[in-house]
Amino acid sequence: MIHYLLLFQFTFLYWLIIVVGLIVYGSDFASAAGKLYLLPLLGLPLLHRCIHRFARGLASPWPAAVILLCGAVLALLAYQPLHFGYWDEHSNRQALLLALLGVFSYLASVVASVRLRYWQGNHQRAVAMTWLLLGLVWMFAVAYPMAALLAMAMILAVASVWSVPVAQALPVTTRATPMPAGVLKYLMFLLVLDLGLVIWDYQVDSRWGWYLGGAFITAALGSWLALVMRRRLFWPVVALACINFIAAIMWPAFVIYPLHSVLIGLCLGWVVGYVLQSDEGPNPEVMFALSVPLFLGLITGYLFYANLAYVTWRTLLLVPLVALLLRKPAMRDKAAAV
Amino acid sequence: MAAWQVSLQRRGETVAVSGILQQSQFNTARLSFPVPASLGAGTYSLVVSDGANTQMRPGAVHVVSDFPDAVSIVQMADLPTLGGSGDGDRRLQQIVDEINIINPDLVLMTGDVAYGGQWDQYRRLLSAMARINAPVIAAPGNHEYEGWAGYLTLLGAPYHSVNYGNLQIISLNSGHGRDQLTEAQFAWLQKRFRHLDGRIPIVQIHHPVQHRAGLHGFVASHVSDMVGMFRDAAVPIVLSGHWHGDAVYDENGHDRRDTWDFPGVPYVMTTTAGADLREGYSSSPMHHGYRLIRLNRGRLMSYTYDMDGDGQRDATSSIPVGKLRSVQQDATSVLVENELHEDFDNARVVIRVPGDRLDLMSDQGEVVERYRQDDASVYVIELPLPANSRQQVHLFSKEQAQ
Repeated sequence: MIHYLLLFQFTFLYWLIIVVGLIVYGSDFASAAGKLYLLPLLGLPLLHRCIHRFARGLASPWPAAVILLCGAVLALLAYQPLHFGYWDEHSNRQALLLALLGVFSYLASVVASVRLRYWQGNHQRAVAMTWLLLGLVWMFAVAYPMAALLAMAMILAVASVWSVPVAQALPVTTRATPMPAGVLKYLMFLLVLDLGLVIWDYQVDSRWGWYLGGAFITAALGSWLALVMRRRLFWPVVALACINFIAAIMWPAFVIYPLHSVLIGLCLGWVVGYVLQSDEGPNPEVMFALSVPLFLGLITGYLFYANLAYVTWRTLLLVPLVALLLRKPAMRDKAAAV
Repeated sequence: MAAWQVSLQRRGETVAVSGILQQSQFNTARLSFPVPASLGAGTYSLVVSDGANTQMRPGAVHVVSDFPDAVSIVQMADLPTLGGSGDGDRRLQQIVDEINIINPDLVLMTGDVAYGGQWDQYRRLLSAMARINAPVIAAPGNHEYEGWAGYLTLLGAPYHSVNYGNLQIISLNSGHGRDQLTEAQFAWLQKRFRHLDGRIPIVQIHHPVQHRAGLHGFVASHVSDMVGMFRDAAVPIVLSGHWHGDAVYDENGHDRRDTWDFPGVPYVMTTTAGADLREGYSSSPMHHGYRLIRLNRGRLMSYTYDMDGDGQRDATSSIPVGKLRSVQQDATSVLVENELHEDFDNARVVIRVPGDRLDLMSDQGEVVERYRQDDASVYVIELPLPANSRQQVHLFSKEQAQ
């Protein structure tokens, strides 16, 4: 499970921490600190391209231990002033620490992706347990909003003591990676776009932690459902995601948060579980493929919720989904049939 | 958190209080303590220590002996820019001096209190606030999000309510990125209105709830609900800023330029206290100013100013800055000038007498406080200050009286 925690921490801890921080405490992208927050966002796709061929080397015991320990220390340093304080949008030190943490968090997820190729445990159960733990971490944010940083430090530190003989791992660069279908990617985009809604609404009132945590806990159920009945759940998941998306536009979000949280979690868990359990077996590489729509979803959500005047325009975001479902029957059928 | 020690300080005296510090909403701690009966009315510095670290907040605690029926409130918004090379600090100082002469029961700061959002600006603001002889209650504006952590750390929760006698001051946060009340905050507001316990709610919110047609984005999705809620709860007045001009709207959204006294809830925008003036947003002559609101037993008595001196309060005007001053003439006298068309029944002036002389009397008004500070004796004198008046207040000794 630690390997999946390591894989997920970049996506569902690090990026969410940045988004939570910038939503709740404001952002000033004209300042030096604001630009530092953007650096990982702009630089990581490039890093991903460059680093892929060195993935196995990075996952060797010593490089991995250095990466993970550096990440753990950075996470602790970044958390320390936020334990009972507020995220200072103008603090260059904080922005630099978090930008560096982004790089190490990403490298840690690369290490995890290699380790997971070797790991022979029960992947389905590990994924479900990972979602559950992430849910608990975000629920803990109710008391300490930036506790996810502490969780990152713990995950990275614990993972650093694991030593995996990566020579036995499957070669990352030569393995054909089944990319998630466009529909699934777009679903991911829509789900993540709504994930930030509750944070926008609660702001400094950290009760958003209940709903964010709740979404991840139900994602555990979603990932289990993806395992046992993924073929039959393709269309229900698409329908649920759409209903949820429209409901968030039509009704005051406050009314629907608990349901909203549960539905997002179910669908998110299903989508991630579905692509992780592709026909070639556990395939953590697809997490990287899902990262693009995930980041785009978080950013689009950030921009949309930054101004509710445009809220109804969100409906238009359903159009590409419908187009994907109608225009690419082969891909859709493939996704539904796997 | 039993290890915390809490005390109140005033003029060199320290009073320990038994406080309970609990983690609260908004990543903050809530401190509750009973006020010792021995504590006199006045403004105190709050000192909190855990042994290793000590934090002091000047002017954080105001002890009042009783809550008067007639309450006066000064409201200001969009304060001058502090720090830097401008004269914002001096202008805020002037406003604080004027407020202290008016001697209101409460002071409200309705957002955009520190343009630029630098921590240093909030500290300067806090320092100025500590000089005001009344509780100061702040609500954030959109500019606070330029340094949100500084605001939260130094000024506290983004939305909150404060009870003062039979009044409840409700401060809302409309300043975040989207100029809207959040759903969570709106739910909090509904809850506050359900639990008023007979108190009369006064609402301050930086962005106007009712405003000029054609403007969008100000608490737009909640306007009708809020207007209905305020009407049902008989809110006497809703106070805003943001426009840098004076304006008043009724609950139907009509721009009221005819009279200040109309049925229903007035939605009042107050001009900037010291930021740039903007044309086209004000229903009164453009000026820097603040608003004086008078209530009696929760009933709104007045909230506008007679700018042209015709004996009638204007429909929208606030009080212009720079028409009220007190200048110490010599060691024992002060000249207080009121160029406003407004009477102040309980104006306060301060005379600093060099040396240790606390036995002097005032030829006007009443000495309500006398204390030593540094190498001077300070006298606080309360007196009626009629409109358009100049008064010289002298201190004299018993010997001089004889």
